[in-house]
Amino acid sequence: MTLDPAKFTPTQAWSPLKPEDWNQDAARHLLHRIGFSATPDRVDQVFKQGLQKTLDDAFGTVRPFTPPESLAAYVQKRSELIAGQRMGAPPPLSNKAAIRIGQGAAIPPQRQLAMDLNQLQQQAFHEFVQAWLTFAAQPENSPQENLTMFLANVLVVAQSKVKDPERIHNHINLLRTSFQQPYPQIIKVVTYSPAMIQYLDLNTSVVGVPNENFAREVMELFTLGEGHYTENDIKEAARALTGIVVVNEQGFFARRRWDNTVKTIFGKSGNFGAADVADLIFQEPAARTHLPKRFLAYFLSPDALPAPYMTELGNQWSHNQFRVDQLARTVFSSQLFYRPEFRGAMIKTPIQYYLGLCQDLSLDVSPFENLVYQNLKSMGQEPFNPPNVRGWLGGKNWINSSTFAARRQQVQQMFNPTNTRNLTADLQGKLLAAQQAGHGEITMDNTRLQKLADKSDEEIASALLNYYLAGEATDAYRADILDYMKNNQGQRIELVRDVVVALFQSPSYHLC
Amino acid sequence: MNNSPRPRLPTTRREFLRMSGAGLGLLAFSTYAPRFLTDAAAANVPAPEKDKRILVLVQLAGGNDGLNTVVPYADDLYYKLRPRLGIKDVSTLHKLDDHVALAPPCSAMANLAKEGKFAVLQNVGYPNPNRSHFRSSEIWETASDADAFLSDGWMGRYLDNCCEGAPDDANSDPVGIHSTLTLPQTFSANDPKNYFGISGNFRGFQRQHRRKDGAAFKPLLDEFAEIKPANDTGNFLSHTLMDALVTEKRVQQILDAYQTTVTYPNAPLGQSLKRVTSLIAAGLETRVYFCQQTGYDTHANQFNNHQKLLGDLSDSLAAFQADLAAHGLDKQVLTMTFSEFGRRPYENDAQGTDHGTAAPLFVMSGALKQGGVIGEAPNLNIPAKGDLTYKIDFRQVYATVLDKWMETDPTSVLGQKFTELPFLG
Repeated sequence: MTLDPAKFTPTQAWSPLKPEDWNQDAARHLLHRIGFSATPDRVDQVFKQGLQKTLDDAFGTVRPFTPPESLAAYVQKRSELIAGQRMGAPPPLSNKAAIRIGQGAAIPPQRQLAMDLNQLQQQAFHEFVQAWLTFAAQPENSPQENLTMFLANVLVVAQSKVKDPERIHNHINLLRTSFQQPYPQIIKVVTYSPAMIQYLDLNTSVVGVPNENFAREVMELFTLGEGHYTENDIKEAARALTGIVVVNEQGFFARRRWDNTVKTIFGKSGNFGAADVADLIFQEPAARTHLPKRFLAYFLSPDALPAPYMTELGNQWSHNQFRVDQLARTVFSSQLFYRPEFRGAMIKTPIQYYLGLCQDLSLDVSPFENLVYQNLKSMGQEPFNPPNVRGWLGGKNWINSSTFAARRQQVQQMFNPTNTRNLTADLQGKLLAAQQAGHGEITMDNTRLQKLADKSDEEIASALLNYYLAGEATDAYRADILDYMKNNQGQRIELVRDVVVALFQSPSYHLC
Repeated sequence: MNNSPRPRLPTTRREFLRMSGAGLGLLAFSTYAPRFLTDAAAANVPAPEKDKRILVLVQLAGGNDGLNTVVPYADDLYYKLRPRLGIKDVSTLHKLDDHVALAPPCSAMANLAKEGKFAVLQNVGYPNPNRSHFRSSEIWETASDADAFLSDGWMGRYLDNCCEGAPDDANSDPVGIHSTLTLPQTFSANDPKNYFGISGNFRGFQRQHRRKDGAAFKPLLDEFAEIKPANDTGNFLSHTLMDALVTEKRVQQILDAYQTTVTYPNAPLGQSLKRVTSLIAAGLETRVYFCQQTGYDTHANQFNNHQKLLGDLSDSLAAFQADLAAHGLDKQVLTMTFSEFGRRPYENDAQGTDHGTAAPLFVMSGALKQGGVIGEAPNLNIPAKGDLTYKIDFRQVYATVLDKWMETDPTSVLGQKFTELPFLG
């Protein structure tokens, strides 16, 4: 970190980029960070339309995400199963469950219900993830969904505990639709999100026996950070947060479960409730810089900035009513964001890597939802299922030999033509349906590579390096590519394939 | 092969040092070498490669039913709790003492127990048990209290601690190897580590072409990995990729060349352990291995499925131990099983068992101080729908392993002191 607040003042750092510094490279840097890729046509477009217009497009309106029909089908099935159970009728058993149980086993209806529901949940969740990836892969949606992923990595819930895919979707959708709201308001709304209520045990927090889980995380991870509250603040806040339950998939305040007495939080006393906790928190100075710090760790750099920059950014954010979209605008239009040391210096998340590949190659998200999920899991990021309430730590934690191998495997898969005859009938059906819906392009076959192969070696190297690498295209890459093309045996199209595959697996391509 | 105009990467540090010794400077073959190469070159000596002890963890994923594994055959309550699942024919059991016996398919493990190379630790668990697979696995793998949340695993913490101060990768070999598709939480650490995965579908990805002059062509990714990166993050990526490529080639060579007279079961666990033997026998400096056997979540129609799993476990562990012995490595390796929880003592209405609490845990080595059964048979005199009570905190087992086997201060990894157990000396 070469930043020196004495030479490059915090006010200067967060003031808008000078027009003369806006160029193609800056546009590429912006695209890599707010979305998942910087394809040449987008770089061109963004450069021409300018920074403000680009940020307006990205964060000016909320783009609605429609969950897949299979989620509605799951919700329907869930209520049928539960209603059937109440009526005493044995619920229908799915084929897979029947096979697993084996013939002749007497499985009681209650157990059968749980097993069936479990299986339905898993499948519906994977289909939901696939639909979301498809949505996020549309370049116009990418910035919004990347911001949603950021918020979801702060206001964490995990599928492994919540299980119900509808709850997960509702929680994520709540984050997606509230980024133009003040952050304290988002905290208030999230306190009543059924997924959150379940994930951090608010539903078990009752007067007399408060559960401190949510109260602790809201201060430690969501708003203030360690060291900016006392254990007593948590205990008292936990009492204020009692009484929240889930009724009909809605958060609900059950007054009789609430601790209706005086609490003392941050030295202030009153008969506080959930909303008061959020208001009290945002009177604390640490609340001004905590989310901005996490924002910068996600969008700017794994290294923390010197404190004066954070204080200034926090002050500006609080003047902007703690609105998340305003924070994004300040950062993405700042002089600091475009400094050379921040370019090409972040490691792509697995989701970014996968969606970036899709966008760079003009491929569709694979319709094989279980495969997509498994691949991301191998790369270390199960969508909407972080390992714990801290979320993914990100940065260098994404990379080890296993996840590197998984990333390479992902590229290989995208370059190996699908042999449809080897697919099960189920998968063939999915592929066909995707093709009919215009989303069936899932592999780089030779026809697609031919355009590139028709170019000269020099042109191939230039095209690949200029289009796909976030940092400066080094001469060393060019030399290696030219040497490989020139001196290697084999069909030209195969050599081109080798070059492209290796480039997408290369260290530089993992950077953004 | 050797007339390649560009020398290929060395695949071991020894090979590297040999090449350097022969007058090939570091820069002769790479503008950007993996960390282990540069570090070793700077130090000009190889890291110590003495006979270090190795730990192999075997996760029985899903929650192993302890009572049908180590059967309390002398306790009538067992048969009362398990009218359908209980193993009634005592002659098929392998008695360990007057109270408990290993299940019928576990003859191989029983033999090892007789030889003092296999110990059963009874009633292992922790206070305030959690019955969620996810959460309880996390508690075991991070070695946390039931109400605390840690993100790093106990082996990750061990490696963070023990390797503090040492050059990050003075060692060319991975510090941990896992057979699972993803990195086990046991390994997650604060500082990035050189871990390596050898899951079932592990294979080298790179196509090897030939140059027009007939020589072997170095894969392009190898070339890319050597390019000097522009910044610190890129530096880290290049290092990691280079380490991975080097290890991948080396591991592939070892696995391909491995020959043994021992027959391993064909199921994934046996095959993983066979790979582990080949890597240990090849002299990898890796000290921690992680393997997994899945399928223990036996809620319905448990009997046959569970006994089959146990047979596979028993035969796989025994093959592993025999193969290690054939290499003279059986005293250098400690194997330890764990599972996120045991199952309920009473059978359920689907001829299965539901998530429970404490269960037995196995340790195996030629260097055990005490084999056989450690701890008493579970107390089955419990209220209706009650559960087993743990007697040994799983962190006592970890503390023993850390202290006596890995020779490190257990409190630095576990954060508190635990009474150690007598299976190691």
